[in-house]
Amino acid sequence: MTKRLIALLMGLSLVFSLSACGGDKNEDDTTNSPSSEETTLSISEGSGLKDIYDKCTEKMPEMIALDADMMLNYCGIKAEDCAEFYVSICADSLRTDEIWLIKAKDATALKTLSDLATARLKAKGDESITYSPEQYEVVQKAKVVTKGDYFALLVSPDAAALEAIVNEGIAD
Amino acid sequence: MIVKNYQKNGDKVVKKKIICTLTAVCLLVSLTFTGCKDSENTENTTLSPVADQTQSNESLSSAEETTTTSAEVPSEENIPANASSAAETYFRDAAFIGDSVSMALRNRSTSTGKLSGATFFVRGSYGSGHAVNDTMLLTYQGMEMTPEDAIKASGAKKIFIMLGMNDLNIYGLEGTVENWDNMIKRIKEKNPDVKICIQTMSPIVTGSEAGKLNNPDIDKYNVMLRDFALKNDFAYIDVATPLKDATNGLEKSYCSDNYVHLSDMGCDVWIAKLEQFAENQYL
Repeated sequence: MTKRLIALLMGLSLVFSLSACGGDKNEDDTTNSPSSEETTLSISEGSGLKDIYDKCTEKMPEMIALDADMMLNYCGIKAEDCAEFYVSICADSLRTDEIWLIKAKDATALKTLSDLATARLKAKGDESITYSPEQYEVVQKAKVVTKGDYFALLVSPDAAALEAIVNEGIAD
Repeated sequence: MIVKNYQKNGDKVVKKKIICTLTAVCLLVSLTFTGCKDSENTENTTLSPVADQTQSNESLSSAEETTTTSAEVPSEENIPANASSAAETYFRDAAFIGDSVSMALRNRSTSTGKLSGATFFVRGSYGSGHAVNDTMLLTYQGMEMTPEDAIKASGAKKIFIMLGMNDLNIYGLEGTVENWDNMIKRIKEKNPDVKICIQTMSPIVTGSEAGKLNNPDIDKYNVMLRDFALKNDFAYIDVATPLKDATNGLEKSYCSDNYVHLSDMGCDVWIAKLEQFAENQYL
């Protein structure tokens, strides 16, 4: 009887110790991608689009990540055109730094993104040319990367370095 | 026999002790490795100090005094309470029209969640002159539009406008107010039911003024805007006064560039003023 009791107690203890109460990993405040379960990334082994985004933003000033609604209102990008997206604007409104890292849903979406990026750069240039020649130059040196279904708009004084990070992260 | 019983009882006691110890250890191990994580707390934000707690529309009769005399330097004691539920929902159908000064408001709103739901039609270098001449358009969802079309497309029911920084040196004070009149007429023509709220222009750091972008002229301009609002039954918010320091210029801690653009703290003062307005539900 005693032995049975001992066995029962120890078994219950084992059950409790193995039960996984871990909650779902909370979405990082700086990420705004759709459920990662829905995306299949064909990018460099060991990295994800989020990793590329993180590496880029390490070289950027404080950025504000846009959710789907803000992304549409600020940039005209529809979340339904994106399989995964990371879009941020600079927290300092006087700087033109901006980053779009998007896996487009299809070729049509990719074309739309390209057109939006062109319009966005024009608008940023028109704004900055009068109040900040320095920021105007940053806009002029912006990089646009298109690789397969992946699209990146990189507005930064370090745009060339960001472009290298994106190219390295997205395999041909 | 007694010895044997004693030994037997002693063994039983030892066994019981071992059992208890083992059970305790197992329970301890199970509690240690149970993986229950707390959710991450969302970031809390607090508002910066507000110097001016006066009502907006109610102070119109004394607006001249308010805009020409120095406001007291804001203190930490004036930090307002968190936004009321009215303020939290009030801006969901609101739109802001402005220049680079308002871009900081947009960014601050985005990063703090304040003015939740508001749409921002803001562009660097934008002015009332652009609004009437269509020489620079506003952007909504990636498309360039006139203010009246942008408001219609967004479905905004109330709009808050702050312009002048990019107008005064070009059109002068009267010319800029005339631009406002034409701009709002165009907006009302396409959006007859939209409510208009005029925000005074924010001040400039003393010593950084240039041409008509000087604080005494800005004060006069803001009085003209107040009169324009009264005449047309528009709402009016004195954003300028709580941003001022003892020299009647923009308080330096509220400024990000020693000129005209607001820091996060300055934006928080502005947001607090807007939330106060929302609580009073003037629109």
